[in-house]
Amino acid sequence: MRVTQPAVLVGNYDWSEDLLPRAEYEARIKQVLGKLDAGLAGLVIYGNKIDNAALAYVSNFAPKIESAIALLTKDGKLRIHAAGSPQMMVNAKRLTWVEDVRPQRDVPKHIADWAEEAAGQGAIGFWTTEAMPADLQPRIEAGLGARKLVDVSAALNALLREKSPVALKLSREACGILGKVVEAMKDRFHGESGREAAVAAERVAADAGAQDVRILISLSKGGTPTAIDYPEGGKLDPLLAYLAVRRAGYWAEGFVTVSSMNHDTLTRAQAALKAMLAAAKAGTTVSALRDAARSVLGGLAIHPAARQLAVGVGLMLEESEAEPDGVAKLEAGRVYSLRAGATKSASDNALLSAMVVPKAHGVDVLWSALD
Amino acid sequence: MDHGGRLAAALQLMEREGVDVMLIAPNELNRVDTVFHLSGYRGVGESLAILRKGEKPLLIVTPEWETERAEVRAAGWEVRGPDNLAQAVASLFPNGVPAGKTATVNLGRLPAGIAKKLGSVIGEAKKLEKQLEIALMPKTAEEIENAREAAAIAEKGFERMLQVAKVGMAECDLAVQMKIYMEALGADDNFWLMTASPHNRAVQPSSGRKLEVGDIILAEMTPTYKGQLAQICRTIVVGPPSNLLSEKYALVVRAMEAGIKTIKPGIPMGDVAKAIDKVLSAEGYAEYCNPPHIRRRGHGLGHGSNAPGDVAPANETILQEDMVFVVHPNQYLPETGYLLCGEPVRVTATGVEQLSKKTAWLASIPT
Repeated sequence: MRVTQPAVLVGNYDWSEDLLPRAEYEARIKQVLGKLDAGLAGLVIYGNKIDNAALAYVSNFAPKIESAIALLTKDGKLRIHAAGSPQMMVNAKRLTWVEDVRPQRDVPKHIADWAEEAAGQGAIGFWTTEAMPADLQPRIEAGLGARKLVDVSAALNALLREKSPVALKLSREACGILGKVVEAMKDRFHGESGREAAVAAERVAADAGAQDVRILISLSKGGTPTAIDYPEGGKLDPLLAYLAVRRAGYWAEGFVTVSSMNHDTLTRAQAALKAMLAAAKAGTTVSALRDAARSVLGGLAIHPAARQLAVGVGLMLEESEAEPDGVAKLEAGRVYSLRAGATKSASDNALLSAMVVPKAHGVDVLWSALD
Repeated sequence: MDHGGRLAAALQLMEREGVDVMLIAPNELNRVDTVFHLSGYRGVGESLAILRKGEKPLLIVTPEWETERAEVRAAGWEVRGPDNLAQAVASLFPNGVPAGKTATVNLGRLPAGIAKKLGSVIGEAKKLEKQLEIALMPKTAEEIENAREAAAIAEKGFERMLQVAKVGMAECDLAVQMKIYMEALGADDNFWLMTASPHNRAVQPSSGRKLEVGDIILAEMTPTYKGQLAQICRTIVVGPPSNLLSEKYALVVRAMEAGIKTIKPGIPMGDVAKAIDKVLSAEGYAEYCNPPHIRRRGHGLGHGSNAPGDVAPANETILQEDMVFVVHPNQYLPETGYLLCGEPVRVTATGVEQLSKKTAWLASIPT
């Protein structure tokens, strides 16, 4: 789900060895280097405040403002260039275990100089994100001159999808926080406006240890969740909400629909999510999940926001998949959000979801809107 | 100016530049959303404003369900919510965009995947980033009112911060509390930097460092109200301030006031920075009035546009009525470290209006 992007990431993104041990990063770097073509001289990893999954994967570094790059040599040496003045590197260094953190002034020049000094002969790999501005790559390529820049994102993104025990533990913790946030939202639904309920839920997320939280709510009765961009906003019934929390890099997301009335669309969506959870296990195809949902939707259309019935969740809210159309089938050991939604009209919608880890004979439910 | 006038100004620019079609994207990463500036809609996914000679302005938003909010916020615009932004643009121009008569703004700042697909539809086009920024520079009456409200939220946020900041509290925990408090007051976003140290070198995004006795907390609060930013810069001492610190802070405030007093229509922005530098230089800090110690003495404010740019000696932009910006000396002094003071201002017909009610003072919290 697309979420609003704050001007600056305010929460605590400092690296904590207790949560993400140095050994975890050493293992990850080994895996990254193992996947690189032998002909590549080094790897440039790009991230920004919108999507920092690859950068965080190797370094824990999530740029709180603008963007950053990590430069990885074949012998595993890592350097980070981060947005901000030299004087601002004091707090930037707290975001990572990497000792060599420098200001980012001229990305193409940093990369070209590093390639000359630290990397060997050959092309440079580039691990980036769709959230990178389009004008950056041509400038990097121009800076490298005859040396080629090879986009290796597709191959390396597979590593983001696999979850280590540490990553799974943090995903579980994120889901635990999500549960508290959803409860706070529901508690306040009866007495407060959607906006006030969202602010209260954000407070609960912070108190529970989330480093980030994003909340979208209906703009009108029963409307699809969207940005809370205006101060006014009355009490809406039904209210649809999308909530996402991040814990030490790992996201958890959830759709909820809150209503004080009997609501056929919601009942159908609940049945659809239940049917999907019953059908889900390692190897279940998304088309099988769709069949399971449709079998109980009673002819209602699947809500557009739930057309992707399964999305991978981890260091990003919607992980890049190997298939162009998204998740094709559930894989063991990954973390997914399963989404169920039904729509009758602009004001009659329901959206629900659950966070799961597929296993051989079912799923481990980390959080569910049905609870 | 109102939003209708701003749209008319964009169409006049197209006329002057001999352009029939202009495609405008936001620059999210650098906090300059030209689509919002023009239409009043700030996207969740990618969005594109398309101006075509003789036709209703068109706003393309993604994902498709964003049309509901876009229609409310972008009054007078046609709104479309396709699944695929590039395909939607291609279908608008089945024979390609008019060759030599098409301009773009910020397309290079769109996510690479989308920009690449759009590029193949649009081909070569004139880039009008700077020209459009100048044409759309004046704030609307609504934005000025929103800037006043944002300034009031920032001031209330600071008062609250003085009540809740405590020794032993992590910077981030304090920063998050303040962000949420300002949201409860109506802020929808916040460029909010807060950092602490006994001797600061810069203001930075907050960290997990815990506040200690003797720290100097730097707070740059920039809440957004209905998309319009206003910024105040403040300094808080943890414990009683020393005489030296009080004296140096008074100097920085005096320099800021000298800068603010200079503001009136018709002068170059650079004069404001020079007035600040003059006060500080007279006290022996001339070498600290340049990089790496200081790059600018303030800047424009808005999610839509950073115009009129930095409060810096080299900025020759001539100040006009209703320009809104922040003046912040934010000076590093060797004896005390970096000190923050800053106020948001509006250029009036004859001078200046400070949008904050109270001018920065050296605050302190008990230990």
